[in-house]
Amino acid sequence: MKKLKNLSFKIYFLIIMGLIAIGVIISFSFYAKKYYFNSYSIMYNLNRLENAENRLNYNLLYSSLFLYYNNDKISKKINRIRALIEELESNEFFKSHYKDAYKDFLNYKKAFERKEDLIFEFMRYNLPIKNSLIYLANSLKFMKLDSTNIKYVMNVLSSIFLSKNTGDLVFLKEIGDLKELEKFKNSPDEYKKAFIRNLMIYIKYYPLYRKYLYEIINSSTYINLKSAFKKFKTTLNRDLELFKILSYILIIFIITLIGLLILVVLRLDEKIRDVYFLLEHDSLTGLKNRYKLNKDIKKIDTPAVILFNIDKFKNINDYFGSKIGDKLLNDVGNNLKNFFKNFDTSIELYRVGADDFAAVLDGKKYKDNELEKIAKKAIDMLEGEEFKYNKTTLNINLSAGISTKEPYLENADMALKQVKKDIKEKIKFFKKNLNNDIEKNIKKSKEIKEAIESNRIIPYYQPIFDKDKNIYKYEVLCRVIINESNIKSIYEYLDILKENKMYHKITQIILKYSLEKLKEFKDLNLSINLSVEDVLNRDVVNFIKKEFTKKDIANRVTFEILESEVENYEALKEFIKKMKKYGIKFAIDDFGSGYSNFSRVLKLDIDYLKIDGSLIKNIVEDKDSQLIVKTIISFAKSSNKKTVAEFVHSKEVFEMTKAMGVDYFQGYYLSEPKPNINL
Amino acid sequence: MKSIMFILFFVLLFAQEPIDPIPLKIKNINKEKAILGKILFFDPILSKDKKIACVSCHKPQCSGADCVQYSIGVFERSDKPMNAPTVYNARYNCWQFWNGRAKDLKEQAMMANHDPEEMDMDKKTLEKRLNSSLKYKSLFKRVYNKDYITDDMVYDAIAEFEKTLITPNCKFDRYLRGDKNALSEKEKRGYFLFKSYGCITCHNGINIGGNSFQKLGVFIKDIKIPRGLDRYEVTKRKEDKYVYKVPTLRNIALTAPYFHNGSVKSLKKAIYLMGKYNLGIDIPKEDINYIEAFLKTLTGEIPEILRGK
Repeated sequence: MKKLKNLSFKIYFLIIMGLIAIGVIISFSFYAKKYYFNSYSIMYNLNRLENAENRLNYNLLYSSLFLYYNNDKISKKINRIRALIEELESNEFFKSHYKDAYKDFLNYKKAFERKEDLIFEFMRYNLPIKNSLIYLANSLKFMKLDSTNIKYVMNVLSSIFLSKNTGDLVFLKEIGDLKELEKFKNSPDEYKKAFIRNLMIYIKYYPLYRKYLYEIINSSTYINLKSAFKKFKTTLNRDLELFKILSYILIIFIITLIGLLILVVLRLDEKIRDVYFLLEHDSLTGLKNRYKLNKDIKKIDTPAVILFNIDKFKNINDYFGSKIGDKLLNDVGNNLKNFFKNFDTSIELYRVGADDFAAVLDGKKYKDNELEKIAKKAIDMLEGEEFKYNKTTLNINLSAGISTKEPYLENADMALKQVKKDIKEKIKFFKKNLNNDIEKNIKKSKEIKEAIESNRIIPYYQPIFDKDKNIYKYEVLCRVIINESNIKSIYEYLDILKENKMYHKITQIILKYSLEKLKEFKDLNLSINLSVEDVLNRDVVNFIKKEFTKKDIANRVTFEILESEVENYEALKEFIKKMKKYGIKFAIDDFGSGYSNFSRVLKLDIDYLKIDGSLIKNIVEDKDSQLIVKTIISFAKSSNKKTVAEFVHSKEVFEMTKAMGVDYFQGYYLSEPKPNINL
Repeated sequence: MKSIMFILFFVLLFAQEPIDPIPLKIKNINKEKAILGKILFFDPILSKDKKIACVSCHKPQCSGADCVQYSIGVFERSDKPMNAPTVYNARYNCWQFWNGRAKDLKEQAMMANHDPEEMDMDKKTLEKRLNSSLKYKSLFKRVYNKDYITDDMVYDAIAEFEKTLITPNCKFDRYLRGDKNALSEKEKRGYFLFKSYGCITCHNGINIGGNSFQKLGVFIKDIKIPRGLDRYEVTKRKEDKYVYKVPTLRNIALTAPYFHNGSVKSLKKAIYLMGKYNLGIDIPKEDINYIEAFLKTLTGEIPEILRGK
């Protein structure tokens, strides 16, 4: 549980880290996008500015070279540069992020403002010079020139031409023939006067024109712009490097997250598998459990279920402790599993209750009788096994219920219960009418409970006779009053009473009635039924010790114990030993019914053997029964025990058993049970 | 040798045609905004005394200029000695005003609006007046999608209107576009003289002027004309005295009087004085006639937005 908590914490941690990663990625990409957009626009504008600068210089040179020129081209470029400068200057990102470059850019702006003034200035000299040149060239057509004049004019024109095209002021000095100049100035020819005026303007303006042109071309704008550009790129590269590192970190972070996620998922998967295993398996034996059985059984079209139960497992647990009980369960489970594995791998074994094991088979493969055979084989195998734990050696008995009808497990269980009632059978197939038994059981359970509560449990007495038909003693039987006309034997309620752990109550009631009778009739001998459960019940034992060990009572009492119930040998032996000291006698009831064990009975120090009624009933016709009874009688005689025949229902039976050497007789032929004793 | 020199100069003279025609259609104009600008341009509410509109000094009947030497501003004031330049084709001037103190039309509109001698308006009053007018509120809302009218919007709209004031398709533009018969022989000779006298060195480009600052009277030592608001008022450099933006020659036949102070009434005189002042020559009468004939081919069509008015 703690581990699971830890795991869910890890998952939450991962979710949070994942969200953080997503947040970082989104904001990172948002910032990067903004950064790239802004930087790109700055770079783009810087580039355009550089181009515009080049174009401007180009246009200026062009305009200085050609006489006719569209000045729009220059002014437009100026306005364009101004607009670009304005745009860049107001770019906050440029200002805040590219501080160095921005500083240079501001220097550039200043330089450009100066350059702009220079351009206006330059144009103010450039254009008049052009006009003068045009006039000086044109004047050749209009002026009346003689041979001396023409030499002078050609001289002037060539000097001007050379100066304009070399940019060397030296050529202008050569014009200085003042005599000719004065002559032209004072000439009546207006063209000559204009020639001089234009020449003077040229001489005056040309050095200024040249100065400004050089200043413009060599202006620091270009250097400043280049420097701004360079610094911008430096910052940009630095940032890109940073971005790269950041994205590496992010990638590593995400990879780590994914790795962790995979780890957690794997661990979770492991946990889920564990949980699934626990869900479908029994933790003690490792076998599949009832849940799994219910799941698996749906996958089979015609399933068959064999349900095994360890007989009296509860007692084993009680006497040897749950540790050994658990070990036994584990061994039984594994033995069964191995048995089926070797038998047919398609058969699955499940532990469906404390000591219940269910095998699920394919009903198509096995016929009903085959199923019974398999169950028998399995039981034989386990009953032949000795389970050794330290010094304890255990032999176990098993029962099995088989069902091929829905609900499989419940039906098998019902069949199993049927087995438990009938001691002779170990395996039972589920049959429809079993269902009614349950209802009957419920009804019976209710009846008996009500009977106990309303004192409707009463004793009946059946006399036991000797050979001469004298009443030797009485067996106390138990009857249940259902109503006035219906008084039933307790026999049919025995199973329910035992199941509900109420049997000892009946015994106590009978003991009380018996005690009263014993006290009433001082010569009366009574034989009372005791079950092994009673012997183990503290209340019953205490009552017996207190009331039945008294001198005048004890030697008139016999306790009858059912042979088939004797499994808790040591406890019973102990009880018998103690009670016999007081003079109480003991009988084994229904002796010879099942698997009578003479040697065990011998050890118990028993006084009477009550021969099982089923042997007596048909003794006249049945040779087998005669043989068994004979054996019992001879065994009794040799071990100094008296025998009692039950179910003596006819004269023939009485005579025959008497002849065979039975000591005492009981049955309807002699006397039926009666509610009272008539002495 | 003489002829060699002549050829050499000839090559330099005719390197390329330095005048561009005005485009026949203007692009990138927000029509609604221009119409709003037009309404504002004609509305005297923009001046302090509510008597002067932009149109008061830039009259369509005077081809976007004023027909008198000095325009009348608010409260009968006058911006002496400056003569109102034409608003037509002003978008093709590289700077606005005679001394280029405004970088564009919008700035020009604002400066003229604020000038105490012109409209004497201030931001607060302007916005108050326009925002109390339901008509303007809805008009501005439609154009700018704003509930409050700012002065910036006003000048922006006026500038948009002024951008539409172009006079395309004059005879000379048709000539430039390849229609060699658009000009008569006389006019062609006028253009030739215009170039060969050197007028074109300053009057070039799409607006035939408006793209450089030049000194008035390069060849005159003591010019007697009043300076007015020249380039010096902007740069404060003594070399910039008498320096003005070269005016456009488009529609020049319709925009008398001439020069920065409107002191010259006839085009012929203006041509003559330009030759004297800035070329250092007396252009013969015959040539002046030719040049005048050429200049008259620069009269274009009335701006589309003003037609039918």
